[in-house]
Amino acid sequence: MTTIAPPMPRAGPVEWLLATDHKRTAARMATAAFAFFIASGALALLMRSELAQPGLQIVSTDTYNQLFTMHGSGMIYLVVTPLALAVGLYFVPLQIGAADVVAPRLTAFGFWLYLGGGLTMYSGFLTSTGAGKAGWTAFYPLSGEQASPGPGMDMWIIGVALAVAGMTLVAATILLTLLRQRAPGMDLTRLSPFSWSMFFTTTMTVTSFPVLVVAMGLLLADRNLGPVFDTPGGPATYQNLFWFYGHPVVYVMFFPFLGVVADIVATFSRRRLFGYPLLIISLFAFTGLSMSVWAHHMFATGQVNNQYFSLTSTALAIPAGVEYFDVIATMIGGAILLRTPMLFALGFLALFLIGGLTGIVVGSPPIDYHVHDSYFVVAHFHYTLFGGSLMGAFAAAYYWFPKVTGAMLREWLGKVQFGLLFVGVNLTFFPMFLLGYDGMPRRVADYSPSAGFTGDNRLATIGAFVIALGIAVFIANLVVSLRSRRPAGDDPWEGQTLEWATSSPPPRLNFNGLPPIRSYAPLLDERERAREER
Amino acid sequence: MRRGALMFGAWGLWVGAWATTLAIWGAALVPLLAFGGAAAAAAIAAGYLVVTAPPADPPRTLTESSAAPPVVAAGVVLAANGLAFGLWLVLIGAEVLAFGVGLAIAEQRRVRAR
Repeated sequence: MTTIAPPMPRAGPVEWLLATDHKRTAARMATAAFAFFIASGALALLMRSELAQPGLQIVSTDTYNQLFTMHGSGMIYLVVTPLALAVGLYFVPLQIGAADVVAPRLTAFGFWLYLGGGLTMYSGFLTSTGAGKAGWTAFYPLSGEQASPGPGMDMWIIGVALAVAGMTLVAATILLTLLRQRAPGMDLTRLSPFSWSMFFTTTMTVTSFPVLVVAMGLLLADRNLGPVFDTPGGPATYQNLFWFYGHPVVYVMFFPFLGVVADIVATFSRRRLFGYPLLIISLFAFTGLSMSVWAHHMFATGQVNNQYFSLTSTALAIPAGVEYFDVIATMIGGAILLRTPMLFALGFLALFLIGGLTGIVVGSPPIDYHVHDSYFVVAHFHYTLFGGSLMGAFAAAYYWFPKVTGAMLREWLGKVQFGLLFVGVNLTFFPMFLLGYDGMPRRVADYSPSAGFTGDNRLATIGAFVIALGIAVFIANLVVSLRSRRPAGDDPWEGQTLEWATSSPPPRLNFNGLPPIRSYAPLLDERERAREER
Repeated sequence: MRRGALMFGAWGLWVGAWATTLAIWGAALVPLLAFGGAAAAAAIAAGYLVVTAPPADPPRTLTESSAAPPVVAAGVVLAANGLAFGLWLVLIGAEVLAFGVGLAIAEQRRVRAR
């Protein structure tokens, strides 16, 4: 890597939109994902307001169906997955010493396809029949023409297919970049934990996401051309196709942030990551296993081999345990700095643990029969996705914001945001475990006043608004930190990985020169060598 | 590149082993096809990495900006929406798509001419 990198020129809006540099494509993707996050989060607030007390006060049942569909599908297809890929798109080339991704224009095309898909999904609200209303899973026959007539549902299907196809392209270019664009010395065995997590994430993406595109195509054909799934076994076939995407995507939304957290914990513990090879092996085992658990979502259908899928689902606890062990062991004996990224990383570990452990609970068919389609499941996956992935996303935001912008985010606002989110997440989602166990079904706009659900629902609603306040604090932090900039310098955290060896923000081709690469943490190697020489 | 092939090969074997277990345990055709397909895709990727030699410091011309990706994507999105709204939108989408592809070809020619 001997090219002299010109500084990143300031771009006007059109130039920014058309830029093919991986950093700008990633920034566009993250911006779009954050905008969809605000939109989908607003839908959640509407739902929680409706559920604060029994009876229908704010929306009709039909509107409520649209709200939970667009909230769930928005968050999964348009927010967390693209956010995870955007973080990878920005930082994988930087961590491996590459000048750009393999196919910058194809990556940009993937982003635009994703954005077009998202806008198509949301445009369903403008049609006379409203947006999609069959849940984020769009199970057949609920998503069929008879149960969900009108163009809104068609637009939802088309939008999902486009967004997922776009993300597949982005993932493919990240994977090829990891394989083909590594700097001299950056052997695969020297990738950072985050880059490894992106390797496995993108591998899962390119093998599982196309199946959903096919499923959406078949569903659209079923609605417009003639029966495809309207056969004996057809609905189960749809579910198999859907969940073949639908469960790996959970890990696509989790792995990148686990990688971020591993990087952050090592940096803020001032130590090398404990058990690096074990972490990579466990990620490998986790990835393969996570492709084999999809039908635990179908235990209650009686159409799948419950023993097999229960076994594989429970076995996931082994690699997950190894990963937790590695990260916690890194902190033991370290000089821990509780800066905002580290707080969010710890929040990720605590909250994802609750989501993961309750995953083992629902991985057992007899218990799953009891809590299936109840609020217990809603609580479980919100602990994994909000408590886990989004905490990880905020950890990444605070950790890498200085690198992306050259300015520091305000530390005290970050801590306030962390407090609000941590309290809000638990206040919102923990009562849902109790509601689900007591039998409150998910996806209902109303419940009986005599069911005993009112108190827990009210708590959950209050929690949702606390989360919204936390997000407002984050936005305020962004605005304040960008308007009144506190220069970050190239390496404000004493980072270990290669992205901290370049300027903040990085130049167009990322690096002017690279330090020698002898491990996954070249900057830590340099510091240790300098210390020894002293 | 060889290590990449090794990773994909091992991953394909790992997924294939679980797919085989499912087949032995008994499962419908669709799950087996999807699962086996994932293992096969990994094996193909590994094979591809084995047969393609790693490029020796390949010259790359990186474009600063390109109008083709958003235009091509707009064409695809419009044409796809046409599946719900009618042939007229499919045709508009196809036209925009053709324009975008034209832009991409022109950009590529300009880059090669440099």
